[in-house]
Amino acid sequence: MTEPSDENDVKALLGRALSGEPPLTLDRDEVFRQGRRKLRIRRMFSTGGAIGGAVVAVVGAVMLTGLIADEPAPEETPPAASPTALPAPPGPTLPLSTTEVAPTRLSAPPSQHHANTLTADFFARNDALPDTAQTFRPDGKSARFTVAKDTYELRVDVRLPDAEGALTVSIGAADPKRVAGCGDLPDAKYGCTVRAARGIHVAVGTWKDYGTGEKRYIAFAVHPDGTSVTAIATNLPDAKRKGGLRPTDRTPVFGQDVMAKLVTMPALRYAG
Amino acid sequence: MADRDAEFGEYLESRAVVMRRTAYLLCGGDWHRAEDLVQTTLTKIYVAWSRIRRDGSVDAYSRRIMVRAAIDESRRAYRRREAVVDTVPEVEATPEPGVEDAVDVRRALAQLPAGQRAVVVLRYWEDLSVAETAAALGKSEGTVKSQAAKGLAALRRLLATSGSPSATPSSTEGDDRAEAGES
Repeated sequence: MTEPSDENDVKALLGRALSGEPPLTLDRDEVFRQGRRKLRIRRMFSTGGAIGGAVVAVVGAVMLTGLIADEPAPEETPPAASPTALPAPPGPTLPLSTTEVAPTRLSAPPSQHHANTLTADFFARNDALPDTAQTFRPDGKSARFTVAKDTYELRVDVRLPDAEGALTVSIGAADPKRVAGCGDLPDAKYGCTVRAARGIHVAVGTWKDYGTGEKRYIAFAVHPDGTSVTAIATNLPDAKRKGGLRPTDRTPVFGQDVMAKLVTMPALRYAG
Repeated sequence: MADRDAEFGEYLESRAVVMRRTAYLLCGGDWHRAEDLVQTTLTKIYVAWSRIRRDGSVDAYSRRIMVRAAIDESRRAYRRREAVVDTVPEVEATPEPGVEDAVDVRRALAQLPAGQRAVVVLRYWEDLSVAETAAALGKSEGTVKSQAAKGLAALRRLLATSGSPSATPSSTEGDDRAEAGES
């Protein structure tokens, strides 16, 4: 074989290493799924809507009246992963059923009806957030879950007697076999731990912006039925963010234990 | 979102195979790792799609993400444990013509430092200019020239010692005076 003397010869040499190339087995759906999830988390990190008059809801009280769907109907999504439920990981107070999940439930697109149900359940059956927590939606509308492309989203400012901040919750569908880990929180660059809450693995990470003083706790869990829940608590309310102000508190409005409990709330279930 | 998915889907379909070949060379000859690398890269492209599509920089972004992910991965201890140099795919007793060549080239590539391998792949497989390679890797042009020369010299030496009848590449642009800066 002749010795290559120019760039084309080097290219030919490298090309020989590709001999025996197998068929591509790339999981196209997984690329879309992971991409959408990362996009969702990125959007959750970005600033929310315009600040308007604050509507207050006390967490723990049923406050659902006159919800109006103002989001466009969700688009078709690729087929979801197999919804076969697995036995839940061991835990003392596992509240979720481990029975088979109806095959169509987690593959159905989000619906406004279920967004309303989630809102009602979140505020009526919330055992994670303190009773003293008050939620404000910066655009002045009722604090509620809204329908996104393939998730339900809740974004509210929060006030406690001694703290303030914002909370974002996103509920979607995932492979029930998936176990939350720190790899699910690429934005948590300042620490991440995996813990158990209600018998479910929860990844809880920390994000900081040393420039503004904002700090966030991010929690992620996949329920045994395949519901994935991501929540972010920050010490910077959207109202202050919009005004270019810095946070008053040093830590997010909710601690990591609360966040772990929040993302494993049985009431947070994905359905179409 | 529908536009994003449709456009990105087309890009994925048209580029995945080509991307996997580059990834395969970047990670030193492992198809499974190459496919993981492509999946990671495509996911990041999906997230940044609107911006990079608007800027017309999809392929440049793709290369930058993939090569940096490959280098990062190569530096991880657990990956080194699975280094391809120790697990060259088994060759049949009577190999097809060219198979021994392929194994030798893979083995030689796998022994290059990840940064040097990336320079060789981008320069000579992807046909990028020195400036484009430097931009993709975040290195100076001097470093790219230097590493390209060293990489080709190392390939030549490794292939010669393997006893393979393979061609041995000669340096096309040696500049040993340039900044070494091995990553």
